[in-house]
Amino acid sequence: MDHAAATAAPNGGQGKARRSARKPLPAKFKIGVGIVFAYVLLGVLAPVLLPFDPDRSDILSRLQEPSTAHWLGTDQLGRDLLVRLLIAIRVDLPVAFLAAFFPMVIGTAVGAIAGYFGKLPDMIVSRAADLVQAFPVYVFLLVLVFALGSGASSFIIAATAIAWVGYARLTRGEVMRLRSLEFVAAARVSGLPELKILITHVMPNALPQTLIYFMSDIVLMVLVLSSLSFLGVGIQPPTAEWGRMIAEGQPFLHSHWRLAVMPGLMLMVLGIALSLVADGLDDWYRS
Amino acid sequence: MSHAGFITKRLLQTIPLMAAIMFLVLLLLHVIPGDPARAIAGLNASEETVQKIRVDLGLDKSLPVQYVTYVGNALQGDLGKSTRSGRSVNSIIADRLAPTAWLLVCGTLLSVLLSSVVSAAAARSKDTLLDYTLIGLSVGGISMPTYWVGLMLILLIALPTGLFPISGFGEGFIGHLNAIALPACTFAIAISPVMIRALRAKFIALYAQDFVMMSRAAGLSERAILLRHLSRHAAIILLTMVSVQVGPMIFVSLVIEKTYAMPGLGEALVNAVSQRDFPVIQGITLITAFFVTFVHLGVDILTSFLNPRVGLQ
Repeated sequence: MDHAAATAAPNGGQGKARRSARKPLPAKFKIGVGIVFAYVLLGVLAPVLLPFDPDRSDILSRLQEPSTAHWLGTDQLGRDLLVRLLIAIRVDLPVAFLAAFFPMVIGTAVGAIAGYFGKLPDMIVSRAADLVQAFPVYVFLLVLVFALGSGASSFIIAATAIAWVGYARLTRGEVMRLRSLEFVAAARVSGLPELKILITHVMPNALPQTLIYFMSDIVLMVLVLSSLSFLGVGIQPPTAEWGRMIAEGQPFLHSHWRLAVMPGLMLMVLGIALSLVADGLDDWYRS
Repeated sequence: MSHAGFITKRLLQTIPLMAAIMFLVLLLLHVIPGDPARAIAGLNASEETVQKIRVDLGLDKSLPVQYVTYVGNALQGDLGKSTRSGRSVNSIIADRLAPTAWLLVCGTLLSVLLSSVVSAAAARSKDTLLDYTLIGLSVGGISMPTYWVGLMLILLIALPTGLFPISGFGEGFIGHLNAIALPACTFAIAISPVMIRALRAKFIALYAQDFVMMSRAAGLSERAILLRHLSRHAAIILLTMVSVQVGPMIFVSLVIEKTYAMPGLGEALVNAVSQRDFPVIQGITLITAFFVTFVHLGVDILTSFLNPRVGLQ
């Protein structure tokens, strides 16, 4: 990041954005987007593809081995494992997305104001950020979700209360750097109001970095959400969620390994795909 | 600013931070929707029980009074009593400290070792197959949920070989070491990837510097360059990474304790959460937050000795 900032500085980032716009997106970005798109498609189409109710238990057919009816077998309550893996996409992906999106909106706005106007706003934002970062953030998130009451909306609220800090720090730094460049001085001399300069001239140059951070933040949020559900605080049963499914599969590890292994693979592939998107975007922006 | 001045300033900054941490921990009680005392007691509890909890937790007093009481008690080392067992939070934390400390120390050492070796190897063979493989593995490592990695180690190593316990903390030094082995590996798999990324970039930048070329020209072996000259720079980065990562490390160890059923602080926290035992939750949150603050402080001071340029502007 430091390196990118240093090379971007001389031409104020603007010429750079124009140059990279002509470059094709790297392959890893496309592969990542392709996988994420496949996940979305599978999540949406799951009920059409598989004729099973993901939440209704059927004790008589519990812990079945894979068969032509149940391709990955059934879980400890007789529910089809595959349909639960796919339905869980509808929980994990959007919740993680929103848990990264709201912090991005708030953190970017707050960081931009702090970085551009400095003085008191900057002091307040920086101290608040220091405070949040003094906590082991995910432990704090866990406790906050618990206090608010488990569930998707609590997770999103708690994540927003905590994760805005990363975006605020990033944007503040970028805006402080951009503020001192000549094109901002030029805009100021030509009489534009400060807020307009910030929004129309400074922010467009700060946003690419934010977007890259956002992509890698979604990876984190998917993992944290599933961790909290694994611990019993996040998404509550019977809703299909990968972390919860792994926790429920743990007692059957020696006899029915699929129950715990498969949801982890779903998480891992999604995580790698999102990382590829973030990495690809980063490479593209830097080149 | 002088060096002593930097350290004094850094120490003084910690005091308001700790005060604010205690305030946030106290505030945790108040973000509970509705009546916190009722929420903690449970829906079926009698009005007397609810009232008792309200008084025990000081919820009948105003927030400033609660805060002063809380800080006063905490400074005297009193973190309250568990609403379930009635035991003091202090004694619960003391009982649970050892496994967590073992896991944090062994896991961190293993992560540092693993990431140094891997990042040096990747940087030396930059843009080769080895480099790409190592980078690929570390992306995979970041994307795997920690508890799942733990379960995979149980499934692929502990169950087939029977050499490692899959739960508990073992008896005696050797028993602890044996019980901590797989959890520490899980820890390293979760924590190293981020360190590897930062260290690899640092190593690549270092290898491109003139003094490395000069050392090579002077006939120093690659090993000597690495150990004698680069390791010091790498150590500073590693220290910084430990400082940045200490928050995630605590969360990771909490999840690992739950996975391996280790009787540590993390497991105590998760149990307290499932029993709605608020004083214990607050106490453990506070202790971990103080720990993070002290690690940040310690690393800042240590780095200022290792690298005199840091923080003195």
